Amino acid sequence: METPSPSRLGLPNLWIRSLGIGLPLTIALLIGSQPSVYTQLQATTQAWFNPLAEPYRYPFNASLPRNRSAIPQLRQEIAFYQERIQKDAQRGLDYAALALTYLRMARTTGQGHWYLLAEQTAQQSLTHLPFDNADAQLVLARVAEAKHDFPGALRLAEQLPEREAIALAVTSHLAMGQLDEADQAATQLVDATLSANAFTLQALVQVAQGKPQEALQSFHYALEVEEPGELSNSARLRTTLGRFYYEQGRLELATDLYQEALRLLPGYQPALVNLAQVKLRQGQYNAADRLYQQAIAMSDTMPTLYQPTVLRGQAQIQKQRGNPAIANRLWQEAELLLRETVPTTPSTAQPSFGHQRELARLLLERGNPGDRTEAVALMQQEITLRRDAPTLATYAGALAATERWQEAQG
Amino acid sequence: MPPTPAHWQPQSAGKRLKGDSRGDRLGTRNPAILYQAAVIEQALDRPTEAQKYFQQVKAIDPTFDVHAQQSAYLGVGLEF
Repeated sequence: METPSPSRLGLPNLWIRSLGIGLPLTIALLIGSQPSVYTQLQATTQAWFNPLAEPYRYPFNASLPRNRSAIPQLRQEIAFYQERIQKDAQRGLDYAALALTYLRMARTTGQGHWYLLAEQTAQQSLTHLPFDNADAQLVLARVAEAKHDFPGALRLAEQLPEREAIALAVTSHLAMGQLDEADQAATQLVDATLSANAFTLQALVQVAQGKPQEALQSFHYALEVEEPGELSNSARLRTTLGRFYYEQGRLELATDLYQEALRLLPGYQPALVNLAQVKLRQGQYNAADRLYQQAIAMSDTMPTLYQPTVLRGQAQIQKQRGNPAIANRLWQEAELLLRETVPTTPSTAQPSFGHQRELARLLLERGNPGDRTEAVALMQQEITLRRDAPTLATYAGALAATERWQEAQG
Repeated sequence: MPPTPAHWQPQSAGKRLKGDSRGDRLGTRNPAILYQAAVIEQALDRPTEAQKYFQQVKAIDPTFDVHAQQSAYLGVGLEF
């Protein structure tokens, strides 16, 4: 039998073919591996297929970094300040910077334990540096707000630089249902900063006041002044605007805005949760479930502030699918998480990271008659801290569930 | 300082857009809350008041239905 020679095996041809395919592929890989080229290409592709028109479409595609998660950067900052404190434990400013980074981590991840770390570290900072320590004061004020201690947050805000104090006044007054004060603070903040964040806060106040035209105008101003590189703000702005449209039944526009927020910050939990809400409302239970799974995957090992909402959403899906046992298990899981944060003495309203309102909603959604009295009691506590429209509506819902119609109407 | 938005004027100087003129007691335009108000008015046998709220719900969100009500409090964003 004749042994085929190398040439008859077609090796030179193979080389030529390999070069013909491999060389362009190598060049493409080399070009593609350059971060700026890759990002540019990705941004261009996404811009082509983006259903959103300006101004809702994010305009700074070229500046989008490849890795858009803020968490690695925050972890580095935490490690940096921890190391400095280890070398010199007397440095109040380092404690304040660390506390501020913990606070940013809390907001980015939605994980409550970062708030506790931020609070403890800010207190340590003030021990070492009791005066002219605005960062530590700011952290304490924001943690007080997160605990729903709004009067306490406002008291602490008095010691803050003006802009931080006004921004905090907007959100705290809004939560307490003091809309005139919130409006005044939002107007001051806008006039002082002309920032996207200020216009977004003003839009929230106007939504609460029942002024949708003004709110939409403020959202548009916010989009007009947004700046590249502030991805968290841009994602938050689009999520908030998406929610605004959701409440008008404009579900496609809301969907596109949530997806744009997710393009800016993949895994951004408020956008995932809100997008799942749209799918749930549309009866697309598989899609909603996938989004909830993504939100859970983002929470790492520690539960986030969104986890109970995710579990309640999943329970709702199972209820609609006719699986009451699974729905009840999910509600129970959410209930356990929420009860960990609610004060143990129900007769007094104590500031805590507790979510009495969400627990009350869960108890009402689950539909067990035995839960309704507790829902009323929880909301009676909550309205001593918060008096915004959704809180009062939940209280009214609890009263209605116990057939206390006259009180519910009041 | 970011650029000033076109057509924007300092509001402390007095220029404000005209808000919605609404006759209802509730300040909110959240359809889920207004729907709940309608249900409460119905239970109190006040059909005219209930109808007023139902109409407001439809005017704000014509697609509002039972699914919207069930999922109303499963989102985040416009509240604290």
